[in-house]
Amino acid sequence: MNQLLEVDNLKINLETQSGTVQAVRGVSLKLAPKQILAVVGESGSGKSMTVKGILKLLPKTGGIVGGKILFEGKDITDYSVKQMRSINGSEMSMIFQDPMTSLNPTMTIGKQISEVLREHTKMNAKQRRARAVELLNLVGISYPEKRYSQYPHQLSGGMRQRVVIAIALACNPKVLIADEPTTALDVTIQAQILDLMRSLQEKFGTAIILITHNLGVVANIAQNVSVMYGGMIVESGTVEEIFYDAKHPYTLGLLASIPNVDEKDKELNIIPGTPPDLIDPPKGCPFSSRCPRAMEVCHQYAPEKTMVSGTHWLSCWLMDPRADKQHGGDRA
Amino acid sequence: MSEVMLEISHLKKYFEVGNKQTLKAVDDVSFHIYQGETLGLVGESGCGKSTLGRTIVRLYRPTEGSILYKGKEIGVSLPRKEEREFCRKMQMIFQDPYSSLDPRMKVLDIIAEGIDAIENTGNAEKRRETVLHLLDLVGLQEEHAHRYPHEFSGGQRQRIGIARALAVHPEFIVADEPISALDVSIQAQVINLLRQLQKKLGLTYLFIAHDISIVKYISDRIGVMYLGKLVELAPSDEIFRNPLHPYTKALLSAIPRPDPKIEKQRERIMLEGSVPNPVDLPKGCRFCTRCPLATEACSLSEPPFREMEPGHWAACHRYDSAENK
Repeated sequence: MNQLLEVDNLKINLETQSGTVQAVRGVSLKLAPKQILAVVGESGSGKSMTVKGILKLLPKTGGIVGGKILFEGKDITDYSVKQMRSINGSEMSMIFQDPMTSLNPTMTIGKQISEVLREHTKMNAKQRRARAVELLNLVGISYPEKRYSQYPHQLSGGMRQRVVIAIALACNPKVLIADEPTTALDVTIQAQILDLMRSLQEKFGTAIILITHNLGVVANIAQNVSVMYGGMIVESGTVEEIFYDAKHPYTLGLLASIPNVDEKDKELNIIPGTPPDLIDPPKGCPFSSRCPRAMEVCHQYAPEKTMVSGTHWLSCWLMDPRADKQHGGDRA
Repeated sequence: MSEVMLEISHLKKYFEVGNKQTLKAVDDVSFHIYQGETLGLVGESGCGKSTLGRTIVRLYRPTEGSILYKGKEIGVSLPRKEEREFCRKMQMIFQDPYSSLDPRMKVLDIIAEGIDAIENTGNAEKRRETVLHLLDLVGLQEEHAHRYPHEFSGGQRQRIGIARALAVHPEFIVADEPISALDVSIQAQVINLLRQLQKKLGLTYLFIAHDISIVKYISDRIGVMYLGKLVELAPSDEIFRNPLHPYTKALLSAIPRPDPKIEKQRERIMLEGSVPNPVDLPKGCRFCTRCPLATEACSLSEPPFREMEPGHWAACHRYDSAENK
């Protein structure tokens, strides 16, 4: 399959007062046209940093220190912010988590949409207005003509997120990156937004990278899932492979910590401990300190990638043929 | 079921929002909370669930209605001594563990603040001992007592917030979205802790959240709120198995299940539009503007909140209709 976006061994460092944080430590991703890929992981696992690195939206203190990003076969790893302008917004665009802060409160909705069009297209003012109204209609906003001249504070949270999506879609991007697009919203609105994203993918063939920590959302919309931990992808596969045939202890722990309503009296499964400090990342597997099945080797050496199927792989020493299959089973 | 701890009847909390407009955040809500139970409260943002919780623990004075705590009216101004007693008995755990802890205070002083205010004995050694005991109870270590909040992760901060609430030996705790700011694996830790503490200390919880799957897991009964009204209240298994109110049905069907096979087949009830402006409420049933079953009668009068089936309360005109079965 022809890849739209290819990220190979991406590494990102952030400078902080207490030292250099190795936020992303060798992430590889592939995104085909029309594909919906979910990236899951806890806060601090590097999922937001990875996509910000792809779009060159890293904070000033951060930078890419290794790896490659290919967009439609073009190497964009060393593109400057200025060069990225030809891609961001028109070819790839991003939806941020909080619709309250990602819109400009002093500009009308319509103006914020047509701003993108002015930057990336040759449309005149009249055409831009028509397109903006069309977009508002597309994302399911009622009375788009009236909304065009309203300000963000006059809209509800769900409506604002729709406006953010309308802006992201203004130039029919090939890739849409959504960073926790529904976390700040209520479940009924979340369902509407997920439906909207699915229909965009079906109608326009938009490929989507969805960052989330809600496994229900993942099951609802994604085709492929990558699980991140400690700045790395620890397991990746199709949605069925991850939900029904996960092999990495972290993925298993994550799946087991969702409350199961039929076993009310049972305690929730927890992953003890906290994620590793990425200023001084562990030598071996990032999950080794919390892993119930950790072996000696896990603390010393980083595990290699093991392919389970053509689409399913993970990095875990338990997959090594030398691993004692019995080991740790009793501690789990 | 066991004894009634709190009896809330016709409780109203209105806010003046300028331009002679009134925001009816909680509007004529009646229910009981039983000793030792966990009552979950769910609803979309702005439905008044937090206001209800805060009014019950006396952070707000009710506009109308009564709150009886073991038969004693507490929704009114109380003498100072009693006031203090009820502050002690009812505690609150807040949503955001980043803003609910004073960044300039050490953990020891944060947790002891309630003790200092209510049962101050002046004995520094005893105070310290109590705090260390509390830290142990919520799964933190002794050395954490002399650190500042910024040195802790979200889950640990929430544990500090819980220890602070427990410091004054409360009987009733309102937990307002205590886990929504936390990561999934940490959420489970805090939920387990709350359940263990309930067993150990015999606490009663009002658990407010918008994540219904978590609420179902922790609650004995669940109440559903919409625009300041309680629209349904039932035991938690019952509400999932047999929701009576169309809003509850829509809310339950909107939760994505963490199982791709179920997700592919599931039929959802999509609600049109969004929640109406709470300052300008629709006439009649408040849900009638979005309800798939609404008839003309629904926009004329407000449906009463009544016991439709034993222990299962709801407010809907269309309860008996064929479409609702």
